[in-house]
Amino acid sequence: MRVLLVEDSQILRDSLSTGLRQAGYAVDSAADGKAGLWSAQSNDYDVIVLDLMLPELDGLSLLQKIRAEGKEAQVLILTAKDAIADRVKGLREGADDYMVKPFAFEELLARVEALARRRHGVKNPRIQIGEVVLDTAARMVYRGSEAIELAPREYALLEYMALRQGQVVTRAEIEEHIYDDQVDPMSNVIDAAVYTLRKRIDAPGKSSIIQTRRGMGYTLNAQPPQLAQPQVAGKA
Amino acid sequence: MSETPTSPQSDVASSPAAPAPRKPVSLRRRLIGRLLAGTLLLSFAADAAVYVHLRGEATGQFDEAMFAKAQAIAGLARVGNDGESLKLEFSERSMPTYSGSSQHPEYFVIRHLDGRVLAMSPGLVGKELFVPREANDPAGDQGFFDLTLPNGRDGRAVWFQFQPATENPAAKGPELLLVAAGERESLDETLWSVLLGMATVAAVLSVGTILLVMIVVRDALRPVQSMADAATQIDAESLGYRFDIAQLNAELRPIGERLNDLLGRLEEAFRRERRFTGNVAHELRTPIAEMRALADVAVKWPPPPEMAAKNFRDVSMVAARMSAVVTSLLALVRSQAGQDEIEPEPIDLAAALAEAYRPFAGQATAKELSVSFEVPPGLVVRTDRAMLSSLVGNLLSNAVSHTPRGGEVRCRAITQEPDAIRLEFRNTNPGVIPSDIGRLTEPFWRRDRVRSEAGHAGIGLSLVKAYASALHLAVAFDVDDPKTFRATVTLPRDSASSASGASTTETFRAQSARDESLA
Repeated sequence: MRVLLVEDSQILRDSLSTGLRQAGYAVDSAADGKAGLWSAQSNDYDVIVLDLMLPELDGLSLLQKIRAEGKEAQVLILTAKDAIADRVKGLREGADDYMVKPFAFEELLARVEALARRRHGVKNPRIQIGEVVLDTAARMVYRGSEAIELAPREYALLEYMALRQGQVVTRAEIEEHIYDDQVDPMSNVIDAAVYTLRKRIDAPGKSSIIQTRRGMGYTLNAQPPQLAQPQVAGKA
Repeated sequence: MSETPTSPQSDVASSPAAPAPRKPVSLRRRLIGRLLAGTLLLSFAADAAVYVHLRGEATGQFDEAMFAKAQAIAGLARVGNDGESLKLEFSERSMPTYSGSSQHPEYFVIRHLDGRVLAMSPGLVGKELFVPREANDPAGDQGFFDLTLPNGRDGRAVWFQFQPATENPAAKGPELLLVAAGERESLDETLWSVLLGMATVAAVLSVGTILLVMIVVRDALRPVQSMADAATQIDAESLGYRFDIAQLNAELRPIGERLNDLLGRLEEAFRRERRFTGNVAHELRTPIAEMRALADVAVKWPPPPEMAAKNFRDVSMVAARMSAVVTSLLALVRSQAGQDEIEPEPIDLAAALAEAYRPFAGQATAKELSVSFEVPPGLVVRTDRAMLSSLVGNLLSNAVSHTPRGGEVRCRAITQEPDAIRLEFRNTNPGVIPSDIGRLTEPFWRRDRVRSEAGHAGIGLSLVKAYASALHLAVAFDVDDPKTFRATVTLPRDSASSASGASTTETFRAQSARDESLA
């Protein structure tokens, strides 16, 4: 999941980026409205955490601009203004959620998670792929009753593919949503990450739930591809 | 000794104040009470006057009829040739009421002034008729009086002295007295019915007046009542309410205008207060959010030591910023409440400015500002040192923070006035526009509403204004020429150290006069 953080307080920007990265998100950050708008226009973010009082371009104008351009990112407004009129205005301009400073980081994380799920049309925080269960709230993965330890980026990759279960996820999309501007992923980085993920989550001796679609990308699916093919086509 | 005269004095002073202050009676009650008392008193007085007049008229007519009848009797009397005997050609048939057998008998008696009776009505035989003393007076003429008739009823009588005709035309008749009396029942009945009629009319009128007065007063006071009702509805949430002056009666209009004026000022004060608390909350929310985010993330994912050290430095920086906000706020509250003690003393202006500028010199150098002070040495002002230092410091801090890189800050003293020094601060500030001036001294006000990282909370000019008001100094802000912000403070010269002539003695005299009065 890729998050854009637009916040003019450097301390807040640094600590929130650190926290979100630790939680497995790819995070880009911007210190003013103009830079934020440029980032939001150039990338496909899952969630944008947006401060309202920004130098150069205020948060609401930024929001209006990206909505006018049809950007589908979920927007969480983060501000010190707590009047109901301010919240209503923000939500009416196309924000998806609103948080008033100061806030608990855990709450921000939970809201960002919920927004990320909603971005892909999934409401249940528990996603089941055959034997494998993803608890997106606890950011835990289980096979049966056994917990599987995943690195944050491995988890992020699995979660992103799980949210788009049955669909083909291209390498470019993985690049865009799992890696932020700080990482310069090359094709084999993604292949390597998928390889590692398969080793961690697949039951020994069974076929992998991550199928490679040659020339296109990957599909996460509980059923072997040959049996699931008609259903997948129907779902898509 | 000194206590003895004061204690009775205080008793005297307290005794008139002892009864609790009377609550003012309501306007309506007062109007109704006074109007009713007035109209009822007037109508009773008029009734009484009318009654007295009518009674006089009725009695007069009654008396006149009785007098005419008595005169008719007197006309019948003839004195005999002897000059003593009296012949009364009186027939009972023509005047049956005098017979004595009538149901409403009348009486008369004719006598000498010395009391010798010459003739009397038949009904009076064996009885006596009361004669007032003045009737026997030879100088008397005529009169009327009330009496109790021989039959025991209330009566009215007439007496008059007359000279009867004589049989001898040459002789002159003696002076005789005639007293005639009759029942006054008919007169009393008339008077009683008049009284009853008038009382009935008075009662009906009173009830009518009471009703009319109450209705009229209530109707006349309705605008006052509705204004009072409207005023009762106004609370902190509805300060936007205004009385419709055009709809108010002329007497209420000034009240309505004053109230509207007051409401306007109150509303503005409330709005300013809300803005202020909102701004304080906002100003503190962001640093709290920063600290909380630092702490929350560090607790969840403990950072490596070098990162932790940076986090702590950040926390310390945020705390320092919050502390600066709180300190400024406290200073603002204290100076606005006038809690700071003011100790005026002679202060060398150039030295004070240099000292106040020192904390900002580094920032000014870093921003490559051109800073100049045109303050001649030896200028001495008289005011509170600490507050002047804060005031000037805040103006310099404001100038240095808001001047863009490479801009200019100028401070100069204008010494043309004899007893005051005007201190002018000018700085380049392309962001300030004339319409901002009014709100510059509002705490935390910023036009772009964006927090600056320079640590300027936005209380500086509010503090300047508060300090100036505490020190009774005039301070003004304006946009001098485009892109230049100007602040001017007028300071009193110190009279003792001032070098200029005539005005010095004047201020000095004022100063010594004040010292004397203090002593």
